[in-house]
Amino acid sequence: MAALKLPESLDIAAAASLTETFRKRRGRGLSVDASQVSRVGALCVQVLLAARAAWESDGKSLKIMQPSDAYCEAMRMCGADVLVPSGASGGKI
Amino acid sequence: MDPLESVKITFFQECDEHLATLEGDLLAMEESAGDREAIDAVFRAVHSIKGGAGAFGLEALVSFAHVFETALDHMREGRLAVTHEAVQIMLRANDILADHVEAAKSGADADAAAAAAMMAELNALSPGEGGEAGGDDALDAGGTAPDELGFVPLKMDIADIGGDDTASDPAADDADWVVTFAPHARLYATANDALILLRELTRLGESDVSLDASALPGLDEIDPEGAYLSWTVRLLASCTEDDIREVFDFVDGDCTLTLERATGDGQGAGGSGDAADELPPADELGFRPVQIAIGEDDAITSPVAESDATPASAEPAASAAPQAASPPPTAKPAASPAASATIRVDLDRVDKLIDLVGELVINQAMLAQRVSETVIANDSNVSMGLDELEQLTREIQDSVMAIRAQPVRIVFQRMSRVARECASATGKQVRLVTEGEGTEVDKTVIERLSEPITHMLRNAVDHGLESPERRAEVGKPAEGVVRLSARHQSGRIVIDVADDGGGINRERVFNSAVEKGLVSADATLTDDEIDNLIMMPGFSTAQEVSNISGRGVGMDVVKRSIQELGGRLSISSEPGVGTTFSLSLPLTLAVLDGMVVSAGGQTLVAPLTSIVETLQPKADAVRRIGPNRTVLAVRGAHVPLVDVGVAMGWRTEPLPATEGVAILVDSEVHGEAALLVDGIQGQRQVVIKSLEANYQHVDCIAAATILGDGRVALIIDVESTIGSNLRGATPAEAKELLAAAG
Repeated sequence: MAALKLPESLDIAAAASLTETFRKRRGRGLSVDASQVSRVGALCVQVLLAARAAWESDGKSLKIMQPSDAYCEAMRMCGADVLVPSGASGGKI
Repeated sequence: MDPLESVKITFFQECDEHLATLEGDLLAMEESAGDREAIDAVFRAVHSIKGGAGAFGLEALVSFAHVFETALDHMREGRLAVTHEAVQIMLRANDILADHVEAAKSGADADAAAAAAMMAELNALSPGEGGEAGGDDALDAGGTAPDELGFVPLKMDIADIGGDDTASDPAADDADWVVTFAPHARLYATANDALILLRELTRLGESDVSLDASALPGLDEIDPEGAYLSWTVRLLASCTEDDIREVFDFVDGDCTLTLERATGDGQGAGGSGDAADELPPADELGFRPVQIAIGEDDAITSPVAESDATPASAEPAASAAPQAASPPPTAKPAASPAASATIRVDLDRVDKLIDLVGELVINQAMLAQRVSETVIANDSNVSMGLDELEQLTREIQDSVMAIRAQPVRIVFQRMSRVARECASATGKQVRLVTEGEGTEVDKTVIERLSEPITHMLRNAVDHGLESPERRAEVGKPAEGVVRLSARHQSGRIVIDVADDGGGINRERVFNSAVEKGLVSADATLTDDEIDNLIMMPGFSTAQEVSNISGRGVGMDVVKRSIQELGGRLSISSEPGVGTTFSLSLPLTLAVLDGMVVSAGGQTLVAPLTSIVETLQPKADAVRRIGPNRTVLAVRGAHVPLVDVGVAMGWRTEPLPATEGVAILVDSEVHGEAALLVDGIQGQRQVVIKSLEANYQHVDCIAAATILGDGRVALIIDVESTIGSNLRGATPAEAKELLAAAG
């Protein structure tokens, strides 16, 4: 399975390149390494959600691996729990 | 430029604007004895800085602003009294907040120790944290039970009170808040982030966030900078509506926000949508007031696209009852003109425009001159057209200069801090009163005002005001008053720094001047002359150089820097009553009133501000000293006579003094001197063209201008022209010159 490493900052500036990356990687299973993420912005949450839906409709697997605490906390805080793999640690709401 | 970077620049500009008003707002807060609006103004400014800083990850700034904001919140809620002491602490906190912003701007670290100390002070102001937390718990515990019971009648109450603040209804306070929040793309484009807002919101208390991604398009269609997500946040009842609205303060207009008390079944937005369906269209408004849009008055700025019920119900309302539906659409246009009343323009663009208008003025003068030299000048139509063009050009020039004009408030606001710091360093109590802050002056002048005013202010506090003990002895209030005022006077700006101190001790000043050899012991000086000794180079009455007004710089430096700007500095003092320093400056450094003269076959411009008088030298008034130096007797005193043609190097043989015109000028360093020119052509306003910017610095020349006939005329630097004459003198000549002048 191909791997993709998320940048440290998933802020506004990162949204466009993240979208592009996901579009290019479409069509095969992808493991997304979220271990380095320290900042999360809403635009990247949108992209991740859209990517998740796209992979789902393609019938491919998209896995979030080793999410950092900051990643988990931010996703849970904004209600995007689906982007946090079950069993991951990280901040509570 | 990186879009994020430009947004950051805007953020800092906004910070500067907030900081500029904060000081005044804090003082207004004290004066109005804790008026809620005044406190709100301060709170909003600090909150906006904090919000923006959060978006850029400026942690130190955020945490400091947060503590500041918390203290202000206590004040707002009446838990902390608006006392003089508290406001004083907040004024200092404001200084540190400004330091933080400055540090963030330059990417440096702010003084952490000072910030920590201030945060401790601010925290100490706040009522006991423990007690407060207990109160919250109590509310939380009690909040849930009545929630269920009291709900149904509540809903009717909310509808009945219409536009009233729902938070003011005590019965409604028990229900949870349901906040629906749908960011617009503009919110992200201005570097705000929905997640930061949500985080702020969840900090208000226990919350439940649910995400609505139903509007999210597929990966192929998604615009990375579009806004597709919306959120519904259920918050515990303990927080107030204001608390929630403040979170969204700085995204005013960039999101759709609704705020309402929860229904019993826990479906806030959905529940209200159903309710709307049941109501007849005319009653639409009865429901709407419960939805509170952020901002002053822009109710619902756009249909809530993400909410399924509202668009459906809003549309029939618009058609069936236009009068009922009209407020929301009109509210938006009403708000936008206010927002676009000012624009930010890059200063370079304005400078370029001013430069071009300068060219236009010159061009117009050249055109007029050429026309007057030809026959068609007799054509009244042409000359009338030219007159109109001249009129228009002047108006354009005035309007363009007005663009760059700024109120001196910008400088004055910084002075409160100077006075405060100076007062605490000298142990004096000072109240700074400012007047005429709205007086406008060109930006180039504004930039150079800060330093002399700072120095004059320090001087007033350090030397002008007496110690509190001394003030008590002479029956004055312990708190000294320094009055800083600005006004326009005959085309110049006049700034006064007046203290109510003891006045200048003329005996001490005179003795000190004698000691330093500045005047002879037997000289008879008028009070004004003694006062002016203070501004002589090398004069300082302070027994030891204090680190306040001292700093190795005397009033002479202040006077010189003001004179470099074409300004004047004067003193008036009354023993026991106080001293006033007045500085007067031209309103702009882009144009100058000058006397057009000719010397050595060239045309030059002498700045009118330094000219005392012009005279025709008589043969017996001119005395030769050495081979090529002369002095001129003016009413009994001798002043050096400088041949401008020679000083500029246009001729080697000086003009016989009696054949030229002497212009008596006043220079700070060299005192009075006379410039000898061939003749005077007239007086006019000229557009200044910097030599440094276009070529390089030239001795004896301050700048250049272009005359109506298209020729370049140099503007004489009076100070260095006289200096160059003296520099060339042999010691013997210099001695004789000094003796003659003395």
